[in-house]
Amino acid sequence: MDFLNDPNALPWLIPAGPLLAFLIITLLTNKSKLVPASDHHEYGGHHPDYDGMLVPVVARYSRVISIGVGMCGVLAALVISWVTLYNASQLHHIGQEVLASSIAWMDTGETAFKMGVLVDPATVIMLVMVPIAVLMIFIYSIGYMAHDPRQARFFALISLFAGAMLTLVVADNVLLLFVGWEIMGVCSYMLIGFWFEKESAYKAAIKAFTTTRIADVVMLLGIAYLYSLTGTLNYRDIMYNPETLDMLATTAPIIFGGWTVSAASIIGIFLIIGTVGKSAQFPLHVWLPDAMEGPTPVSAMIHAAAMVSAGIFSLIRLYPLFAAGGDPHHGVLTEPLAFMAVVGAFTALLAATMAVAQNDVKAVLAYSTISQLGFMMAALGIGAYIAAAFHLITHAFFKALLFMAAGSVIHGMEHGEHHVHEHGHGHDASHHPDEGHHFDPQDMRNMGGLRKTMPVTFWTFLIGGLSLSGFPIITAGFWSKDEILADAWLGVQNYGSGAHGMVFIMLALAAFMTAFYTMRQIALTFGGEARTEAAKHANLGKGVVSITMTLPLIILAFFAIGAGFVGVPNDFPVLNAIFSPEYNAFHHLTVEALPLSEATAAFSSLPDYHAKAPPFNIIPVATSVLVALLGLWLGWLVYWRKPLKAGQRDPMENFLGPLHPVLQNRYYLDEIYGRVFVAPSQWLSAQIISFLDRGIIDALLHIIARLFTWLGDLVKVLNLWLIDGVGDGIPIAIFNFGGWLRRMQSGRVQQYMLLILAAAVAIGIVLVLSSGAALAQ
Amino acid sequence: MFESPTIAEFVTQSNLASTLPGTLLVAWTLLLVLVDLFAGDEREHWTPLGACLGLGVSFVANLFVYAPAADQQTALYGMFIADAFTGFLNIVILVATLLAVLMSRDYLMRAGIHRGEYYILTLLSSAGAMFMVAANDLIVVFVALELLSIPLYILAAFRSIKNDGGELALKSEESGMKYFILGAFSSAFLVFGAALVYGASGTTNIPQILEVAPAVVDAASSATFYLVVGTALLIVGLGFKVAVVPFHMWTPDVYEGAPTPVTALMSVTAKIGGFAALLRILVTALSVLLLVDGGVAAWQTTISIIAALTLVLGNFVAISQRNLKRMLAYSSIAHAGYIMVALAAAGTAGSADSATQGALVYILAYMFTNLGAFAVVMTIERVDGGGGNIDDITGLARSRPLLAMAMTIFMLSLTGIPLTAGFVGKFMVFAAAVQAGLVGLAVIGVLTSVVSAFYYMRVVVNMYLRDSSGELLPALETVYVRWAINIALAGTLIFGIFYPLASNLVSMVSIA
Repeated sequence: MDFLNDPNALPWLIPAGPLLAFLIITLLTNKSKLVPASDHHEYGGHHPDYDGMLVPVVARYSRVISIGVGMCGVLAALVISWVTLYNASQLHHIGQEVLASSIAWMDTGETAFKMGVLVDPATVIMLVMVPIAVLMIFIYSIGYMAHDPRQARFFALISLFAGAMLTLVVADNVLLLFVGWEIMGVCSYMLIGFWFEKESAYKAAIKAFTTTRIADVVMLLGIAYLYSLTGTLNYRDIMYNPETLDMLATTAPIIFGGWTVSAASIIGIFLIIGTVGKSAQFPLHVWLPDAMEGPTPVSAMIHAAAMVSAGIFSLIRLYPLFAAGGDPHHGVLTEPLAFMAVVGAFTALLAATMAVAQNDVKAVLAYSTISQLGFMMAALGIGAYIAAAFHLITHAFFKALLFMAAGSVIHGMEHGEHHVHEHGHGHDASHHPDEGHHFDPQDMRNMGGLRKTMPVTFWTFLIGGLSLSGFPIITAGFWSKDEILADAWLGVQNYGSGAHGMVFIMLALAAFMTAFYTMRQIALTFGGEARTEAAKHANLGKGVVSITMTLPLIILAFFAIGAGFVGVPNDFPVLNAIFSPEYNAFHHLTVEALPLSEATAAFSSLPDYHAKAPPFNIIPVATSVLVALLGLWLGWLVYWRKPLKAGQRDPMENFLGPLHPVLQNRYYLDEIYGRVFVAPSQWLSAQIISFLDRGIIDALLHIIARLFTWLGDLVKVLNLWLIDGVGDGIPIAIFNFGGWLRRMQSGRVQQYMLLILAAAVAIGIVLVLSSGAALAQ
Repeated sequence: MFESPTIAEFVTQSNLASTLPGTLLVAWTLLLVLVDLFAGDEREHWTPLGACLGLGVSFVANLFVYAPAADQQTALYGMFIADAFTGFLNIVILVATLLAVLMSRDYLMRAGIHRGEYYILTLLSSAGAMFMVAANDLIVVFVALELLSIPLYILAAFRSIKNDGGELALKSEESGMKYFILGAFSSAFLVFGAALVYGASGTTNIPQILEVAPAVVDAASSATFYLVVGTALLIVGLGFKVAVVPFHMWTPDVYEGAPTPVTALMSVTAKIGGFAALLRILVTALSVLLLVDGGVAAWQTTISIIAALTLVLGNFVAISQRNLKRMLAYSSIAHAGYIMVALAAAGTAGSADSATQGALVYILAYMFTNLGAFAVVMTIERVDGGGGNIDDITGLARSRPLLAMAMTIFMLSLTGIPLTAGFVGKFMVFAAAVQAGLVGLAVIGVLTSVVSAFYYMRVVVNMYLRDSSGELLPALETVYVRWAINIALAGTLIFGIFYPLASNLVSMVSIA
């Protein structure tokens, strides 16, 4: 297969670069030695938790190599993605035509399971977003990880992470998607626990891994069921094929009283549960806030470019399956859609309330991610497939930006703290590290006034924050959020649908809170005056490090604004003349990923997938403008106008009263999970280990092991003693062979020959007997 | 009156071109004798290099021979055959020989024996194996078998090294001598079997036996009895070469005593030759002959019993071995058992092709994996034969992580774990067995595979989970053996991961 010239085969190479980079780094830069962390001059208090530990230090050249190789890998992915995008744009009408290539991977009886790549509109939008976001994260990492002794490991893992994500994006079947999905799970485990010397880091890693694992098992069940019914896992064969969809929607394996659940619904819900885990939706959202224990670029990777996006992306991919049997555009939701709408809207609101009370700069962003993913999930639930995809893209850009800007803030604060410590003007007694009070560079209460010392970070963070809040017209977040609300409103207006109404109200509320906590975060971090010495001296320093950390912010800030303009509705007043004179570009592209209307019309069980974009309506637009501005204004009023003083209580604590600790402690969900799930399963495991493992399994294993050893010995004895013994007896009687052979060895050769003779006779007898029928003829 | 043809007529009529892979290799080897003679002190460089080039030339010639069964050619008036079966196995033999030459270069350097005849003998033996897979006549089978075996007898005795006390270590000579005596003994069975078959059918040509056999059986004369006994003797003679139970007794002694590269070579090429002849004789010539009711060849029961015995004994005895080479020797007996399963499956009418293809894929996987494992053993074994015990690899993962990883993959492949070539081979063989109705045999095969995990995984456990005494194992090997390991590793993984590759390669093989 000529990969370079065949547009259909080229997508195979998209994940190849990062995956290759992973292999090269892993294989070539593993030569390291262990030195005490304190001896290593580059350590300089960057991670105090390492003190006194032996850390592997990789030679400098191999660090440079690992960075170079990692960058080459991701650049190759970017270039090939762009070429693929160009190839896709040459198609007559992408969606109806696709770039696809596959090979028979495993022959199973009559059929072969095919592995392949597919570039359709859903892939295209991800190929626009993922490689750019990943490249920015890589560039940022060069600066952020500059002083870490395990850079090679970091770049290897993050390359693997990127490779897995790209595999997932270009996959043409659910199984390959699941492969990428699981590799990302492993990568996230290793990267969240990257600083595994910290107890909180490895605990967070285990939490993330086990939580997503629960969901993945359910998802795998769904995949298995889908395969058993359809005999294929290829997207196009299932999702673009009305006959298959109809079969799935009309097969009803569960009939419970008057309640009939179709196979499509069961599979759909199982697959959605996979996403609930991966995209951190209630009730499996608990791992995501803890995931910020990893290095900040990893957070950006997990929260924006890869992991959580993968969950929503898989739902977008499989959307026709979820909608089969219902008609979301006329207010008829199937079970999976209703499930998504409820979980999504509830999560969006729940996470937004939690974010309001957080003091950790990354925790706020973590909850906002959960909340925004809830937006997308709810949008999918009400059939707003395109709006969800749109929000996925814009969110990825501004959330990557926000995380990396927050990382810069933390980096700057650490820098400032280090500066204070070194120059001995640590007068601020309450934050002096020697007094047992560990200075937290992520606590927003320790910040303030950073706009003066870190202007680039401030402006980019502001852009990202406004986009997250949905600041009208100029930010990307506005356009995507507005489209979700418009779709919800359309449902309310046209069909009086309760589900649409619920989604509309809950999301509007969540959007309001989003704007408020974002403004609170911006004000606490950058507004007012510095509340600590560290904040006063916070900066990124000069040189390459600061450039590699600020350049990605600037580039992403451009996308945080510009990415929204591809999806301006073509009936939006005034602006449509500039951005969408003929059609809404994003909508135009994405809608073709669904089966054609003419094809589905023949099946009564299938909806018309080709929904038109919601017509312009002033109510949702006004709502989204209003909630955004109101939230921002309130935040400005409370936090920016009257900046927090050092040691002063957060005004929210007074306002919310007893509710505040509840929100701050995430509704005590972690504690409840600890009591209800973790503690009992630990107790059960302990019981099982003591009883089953030691009492039964170990004993059984010992018996089996003994049996095998004994059998082995027995056969050995038979071989050496019995056969040789017989052989010894007979040859003395029959053969009296010359002595020279005997002197060389014990005379076994004769025994062997005797055995051959005996066996020849035996074989002759068996053959004659078994060919008796032939002989008797 | 027989008129002797001119040389040109002879060449065209006899279709010599299709024997070129083997004949070119022989011719090249004879030239290499001269090169070695005049190379003087440089021979330690030139002879192995020449040997590798010769293998390359033969490889290229083989590509022209590689043809589907429909386009098969015969040469020398039906004595030789060139088809996909021949072509595929020729490639396996050539790659195996290349790996063995690489390992030998290392071994001879370390042992301080720079003798060119070593490579000459290696190439001649491989040429014998290539003639054997191309044999279409019982006479050729015998001659090729001798060409394959006699150099191996000499090579097995090649390690004449003085031990610490200055005395010659006799283990290698003993190994060669034993191999020679038993080999000659079993060849006698082969010849006698061929003679009986000739007596019964009036021909030694394999396709002609196929044509004549039904008439012989219909006549129900004593000729049928000769045919059956002849078949039994052929099975005995070839069973010795492929080392199946109960003709396996020589294997551990000879494998342990012979130089490691020779062990590696004979564990592969001798088996390939033997199995090729068994397949050609039993599946092509004698399948129709001994058909009992139900479309099953009469020899199937016999082969099934041998296969089952081989699987059980090979795997169970391997458990109690402490020496790695002895362990691999028993494991190679066990693997011959798996190929025997495929051979038994080929006895059912209709599944001959799939079973043959399964056997070929198994041979391919076994070749890469087994040679790789032997190459790893070479790196830790001392030239005097010491250092090859299972305890000697303890902690290898710490001192030589890459080597340990390679060994782990070979062990996984020998066990038959997915994503290694060993799995693909086992899968195809068991699938063929089930298709042929030999479910019991397939079950024995799967169960003994589980048993085999016991001793293969012990190697991995020793490398990774047990701490060594503290001193790191020194790197004894040279770059050549590392190349051998790399090639074997690549083969093991490529054919394992790209699952359809192997089955596609053999898809046009048909000998029934």
